Amino acid sequence: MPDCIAITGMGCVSAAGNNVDGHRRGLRLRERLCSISTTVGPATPYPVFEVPDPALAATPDEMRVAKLALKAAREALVDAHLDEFPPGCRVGVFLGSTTSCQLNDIEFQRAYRSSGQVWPAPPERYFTGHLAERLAWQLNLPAGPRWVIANACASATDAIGMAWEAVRQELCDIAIAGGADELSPVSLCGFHSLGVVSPVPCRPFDRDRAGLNLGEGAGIVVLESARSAARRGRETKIFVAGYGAAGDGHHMTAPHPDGRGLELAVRRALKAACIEPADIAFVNAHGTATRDNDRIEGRVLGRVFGTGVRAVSTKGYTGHALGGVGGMETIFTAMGLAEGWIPANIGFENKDPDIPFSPPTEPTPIDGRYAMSTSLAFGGGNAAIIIEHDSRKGIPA
Amino acid sequence: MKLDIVSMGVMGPFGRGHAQLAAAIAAPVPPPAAWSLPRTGMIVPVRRVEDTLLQDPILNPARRAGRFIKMAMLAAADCLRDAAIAEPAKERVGLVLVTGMGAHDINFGFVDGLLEFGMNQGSPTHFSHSVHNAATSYIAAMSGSRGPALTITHFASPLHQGLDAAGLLLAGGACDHVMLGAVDELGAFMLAIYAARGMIAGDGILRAKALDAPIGIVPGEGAAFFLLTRPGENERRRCRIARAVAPVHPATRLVLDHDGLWSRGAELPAAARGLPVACHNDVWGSFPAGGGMALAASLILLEQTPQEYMLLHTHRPGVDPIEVIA
Repeated sequence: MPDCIAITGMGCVSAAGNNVDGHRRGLRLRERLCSISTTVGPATPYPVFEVPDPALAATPDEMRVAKLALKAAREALVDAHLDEFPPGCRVGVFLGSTTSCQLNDIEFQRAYRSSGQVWPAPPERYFTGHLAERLAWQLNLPAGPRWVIANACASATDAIGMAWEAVRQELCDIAIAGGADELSPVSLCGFHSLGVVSPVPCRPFDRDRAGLNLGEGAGIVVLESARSAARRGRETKIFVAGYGAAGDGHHMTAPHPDGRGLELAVRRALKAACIEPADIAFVNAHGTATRDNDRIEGRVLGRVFGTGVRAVSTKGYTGHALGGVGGMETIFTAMGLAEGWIPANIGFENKDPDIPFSPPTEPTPIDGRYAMSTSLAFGGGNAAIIIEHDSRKGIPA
Repeated sequence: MKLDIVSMGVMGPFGRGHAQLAAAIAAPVPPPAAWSLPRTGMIVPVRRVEDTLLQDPILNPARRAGRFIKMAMLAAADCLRDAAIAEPAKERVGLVLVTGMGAHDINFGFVDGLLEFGMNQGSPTHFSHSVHNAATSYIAAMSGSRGPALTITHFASPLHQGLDAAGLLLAGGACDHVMLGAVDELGAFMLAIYAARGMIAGDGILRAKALDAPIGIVPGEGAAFFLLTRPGENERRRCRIARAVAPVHPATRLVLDHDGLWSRGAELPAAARGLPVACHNDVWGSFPAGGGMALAASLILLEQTPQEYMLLHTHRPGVDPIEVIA
């Protein structure tokens, strides 16, 4: 079993940037690019983080979410120098998503309700739109596993974690892993119905936070063993070092009050990476800016890593892209670790007495070998992934 | 990949439990039920779980949930009871639920509510129960499982994706047991979509053994759960399953999972040609996660004839046969 699984390519698209470089720039400059939605969701306008690219609009033969995933995957493959695959190479696709898994089309359903007519295009797009299969088909990938993990907001983190296991255990040689989701009026109405959408730009971990802003986008990485990367002459310095997941087993929408599942997931990831909490340089936290999530996540991070933990939420730049956001945040974690800085926790001003730490309000230098990204999901799913930066590993033979 | 199956829980149009499925596959298949589609009045044949089966005190915490979650919980509860896992070990039980379309009926219900009452008036109950992983959330709460919980979607071969996921979790040491469930539900709007796409067998006959028959499904629903572990780690093991077998043992029976949809250009793998064939998809009908039912049927057939080997061939794209041995 290969024990060093490298990230050899990364691709990302969200309202905060059109690619990884764009995100680097946006996060450094503290750019907050949300807009007030007048076309998506409930009658009340809410801020959302929409990718401003007309080329990504849904078409009769392709869902918008698939276009977002494809854009990020192409960037990741170019970054990995994978314009072709070695003969016999098994390429797995492991993606997290929520919106691609459901046939959510309000106008389609309105037409059926009024006339009994079933328009042909939306079901065709849905049944041919399994995100992993679609991506593999569009990119003409060699055979391998094709998974879509629908674990709500932890989907992409779980997808990367399971892809890491799949490469370690040689279910495939290379994995394209991450997640994607699109802004959907159904999702926005749903979160509005739960009373967790903020009427103003979100403020993760702030005392006066008022809820989340929805976003959209994709974050996709290429994973392969360091040996495989070396065979291709690809230098590797960034690795997935560990993954842990656990269910709260508590409630449909509310996290466990003590963060039982999150703490288990974090400790399992540390154990898988064979490291201690003190080895973690920073945490890219889930930090949705809902009252419950931030309080419970903040307490768990304080309990495991101490009140001096460096934890930052990047939701203030991207919004909450649901099943795709874990992919983006894994990339931000890798980027920050490799470059020695973390972004400001945009939106944070006042410390919450219920949260035992304050996130950074400016881009901040960091130094360390490991960092963690956490995700908490609706339904009590929790996932944590550990990224390692080690320039001594994986030098081409 | 080799995995041991320790226990099983099933529910479907045939009823709830191992004995009900065993009886159904031994008996002549009754005619399907008829479902009148709203708005058009079109009648379509279906294999549907009786509503009365979805009433059980176990479901009290999930009283607001739809059929998908309820079927999953009942089958999972039976699977766990059958396994008799001790309390401390439950923290090391992972969950993998595979499905084609998840709780789609309640999702359409949420959108119906928006259209009926306004975009500001969505039902939080419908929304929270429409997410794909809602079922694993309820099962984790019911069972005390604290392991990883994954919900994986695939239209063609969700069972195989789930077996791979369970194998990875077990081999990687993330948990000691994995409860793998394969679940799909029926719903009126999706039936209307199937009908409009010309997928449904108008005569209500699922030509499950006819590999060259044109597409014709009889929509069905159900849930099958299996408690899996690493080979040799639980003495209550009922059978062992393995992927990609060759050569085939001479005493092998082919269990064909063929739901009437993935039939064009069908050919059996070379290893399976000439074997005696069992095919029971007409007992539970056609649904993406129906491979779970076929695996359950394989276990039952194996228990009836333990001297035999079962080769489960899910006739869908890109999957290997699964060998099931005592």
